[in-house]
Amino acid sequence: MKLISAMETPADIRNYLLKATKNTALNELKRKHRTNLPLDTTPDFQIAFDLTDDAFLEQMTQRARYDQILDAILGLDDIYRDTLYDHFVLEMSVSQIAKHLNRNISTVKKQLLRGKKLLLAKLEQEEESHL
Amino acid sequence: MTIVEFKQALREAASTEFQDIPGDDTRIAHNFSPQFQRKMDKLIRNERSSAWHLVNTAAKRTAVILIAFLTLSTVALSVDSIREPVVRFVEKVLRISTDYTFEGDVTKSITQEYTLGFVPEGFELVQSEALDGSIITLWENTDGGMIQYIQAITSSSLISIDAEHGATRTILIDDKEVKLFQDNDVCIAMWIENGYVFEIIDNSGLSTEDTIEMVRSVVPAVIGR
Repeated sequence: MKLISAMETPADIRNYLLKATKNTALNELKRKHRTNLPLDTTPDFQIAFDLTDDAFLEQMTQRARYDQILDAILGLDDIYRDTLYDHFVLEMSVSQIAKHLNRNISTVKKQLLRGKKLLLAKLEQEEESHL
Repeated sequence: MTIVEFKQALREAASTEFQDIPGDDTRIAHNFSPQFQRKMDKLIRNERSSAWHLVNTAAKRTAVILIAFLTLSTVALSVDSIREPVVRFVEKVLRISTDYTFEGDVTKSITQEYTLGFVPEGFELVQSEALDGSIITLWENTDGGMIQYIQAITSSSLISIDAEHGATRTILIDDKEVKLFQDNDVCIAMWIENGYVFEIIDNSGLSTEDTIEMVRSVVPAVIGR
């Protein structure tokens, strides 16, 4: 409830609740069908460097326009988009995101870092294609 | 581009996933099955219960059932039985009478008095007396007719019914086995309840319906003697 009351817009509350509902429903289905999915479904590639939020936001705000960023975000896989949304818009902690999206804390950490990296990579590609 | 715009872009992207979901219920064209509706109604009702938090998961329900079972087992093993006493008639047919004594969980004293809740019109209470092991109450009407109501213990009572001049039949009144004796002058209703033997003796010529009504009306007395 604390989380919800801190949310800035009705759209955030709606997104949060629908996402939670979707995850709960998926979990229930998985439980009923006894499907054992791997906890970490992210691609397995090496993370070459760490990327802080400040550094990420600085790069984002310096180099891209709104429509470019929107396109890049829409081009991201759901798992990264959800993590970035929870982290940057809803300002949730890693453990809160893990609970909300029903993922491991370590998975969320990786997805957050990979999401930021992928977003920057997409924007870079976009810029290069325009040159 | 600002951080606020970046957040707005994330928000917009997140919203696209659910853009097809209507924002209000009336726009959702789906009828849930009656079975689902019943299930949800039941769930909502249960959630309003103050005990819901104790039984809202399978594990908690199992724990509650286990505790209840253990409690009942413990109580059953540690206190006397709380079932109603079972007393039976012992009938002995003699040449001129039928004698009734009692066996089973017989009572040795009257710990709870029972009274008649219904007495036919025209009768007035003239006597009520507690003797050793019995309570006798008497009503009389202006024609000299009498109704005698007796509550007695079953450990030492002997009731003798005239077998020469009347007939006895057994009827069921509200699961009570009532022995109804009738001769030219008197009608006697006799039954066992809560370990006591009860008798209603009438010599005023009341109808069987009135007698049955009186048997049905026996209730625990609110104030003891």
